[in-house]
Amino acid sequence: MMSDPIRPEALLRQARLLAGFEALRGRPSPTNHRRAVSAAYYALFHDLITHCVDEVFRVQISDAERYRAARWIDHRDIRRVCSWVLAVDAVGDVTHSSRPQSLADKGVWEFFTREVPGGRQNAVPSRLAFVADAFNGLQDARHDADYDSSASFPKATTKTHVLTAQRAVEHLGASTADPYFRRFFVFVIGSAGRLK
Amino acid sequence: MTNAALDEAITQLRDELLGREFGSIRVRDLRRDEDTGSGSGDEDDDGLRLLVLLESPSDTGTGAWPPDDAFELRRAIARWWTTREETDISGISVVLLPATPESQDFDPQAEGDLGQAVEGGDDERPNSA
Repeated sequence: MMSDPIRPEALLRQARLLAGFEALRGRPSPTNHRRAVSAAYYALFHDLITHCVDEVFRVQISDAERYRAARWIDHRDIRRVCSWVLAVDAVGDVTHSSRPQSLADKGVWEFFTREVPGGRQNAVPSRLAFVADAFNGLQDARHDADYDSSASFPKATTKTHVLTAQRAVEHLGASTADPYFRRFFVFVIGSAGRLK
Repeated sequence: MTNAALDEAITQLRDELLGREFGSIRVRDLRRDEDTGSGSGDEDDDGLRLLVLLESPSDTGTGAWPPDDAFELRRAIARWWTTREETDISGISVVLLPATPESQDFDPQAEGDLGQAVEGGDDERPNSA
C-alpha cells in the first residue's frame, strides 16, 4: 500500500516558510508563527524517533515495521529522558560523589557521567545536551502554540525555535555513532510507555 | 519551595544574568510568567515559566537569536539553578522573548509565499492524481 511518510526535512521546510524566513518585510501572520513552531517541534520529534528505532533495529526491517515501532514512543517518553540528560548536564564540570536526587535508581547518572578522582563528572556531549534542551523547549513552545491563546510568538522567538529544531536535527544526523547519543536512543526506547 | 523562596531565587538569577552576553545574545530582563500553563492537559504543563527578555537579534542576518547562544543561555540558567537551589530545573520552562515589541505590521507577501509554496507541494514523488 502506498504511504506518505512523515519527513522531518519537509516539516522543517514548512516551518521556515511559515516563520517567514523568506518573507520580504513586516510580520507574517501570527497563526503562521504558531504553525511554524508546531512544525519545527514535530520535525525534531519524528527525526529523533527514527534514530531511536534505527538504533534498536540494526537489521533490515520493512517500512511498515519501522512505522509501527515509531508509534511505541510517546512525547512524554522522550521528554522524560531529555530531562534526565539535562539534569546530568546541569551539574557542569563539578565532581559529584553521589547522583542528584532526581536521577535516583534510574541508571542515568552512571550512563551519562564518567568516573574521576573523588566521584563522577558530567559526560554529556554538548550536542546531546543541545538536542535534549531543544526537544523540551520546543515541546513547551508547541503546547503554547497549539493551546494557549495568551501566548505570543514574535518573529525572533519563532525563527529561533525553527533554527533550533534544524540544528538539533543536524546534531542527530551527525552523531549516530556517538556512544552517548546511542545510550540516549536506547533510554528513549526503554522508556516507551506503549511497550509496557 | 515556597512562593517567597521562589521569587527570591528568581531575583538572584535575574541579577546574575542582567547585562550578560551569551555569544551575540544580551539579557535585558528576567521575570516569572504569572500566566503559566497552556491548558494542553499535559501533566508536565503546570510548572514554572521564566520569561527572559533579550535585545533583538539585529545583526544575525536571520532575524533569530543563534540557537547555540540561546542554548548556552538556557544551560547557564539550568546550572545556576541546580547549584544554588539544589534541585534540577526540569519543571521550569524558559521562554526567550524580545525586550522591545516588534513591528505588528502584517505582511501580505508572507501569506502569498505560503499559498504558492503549499500549492507547489514538497513531495518529490510524481503526482499520480
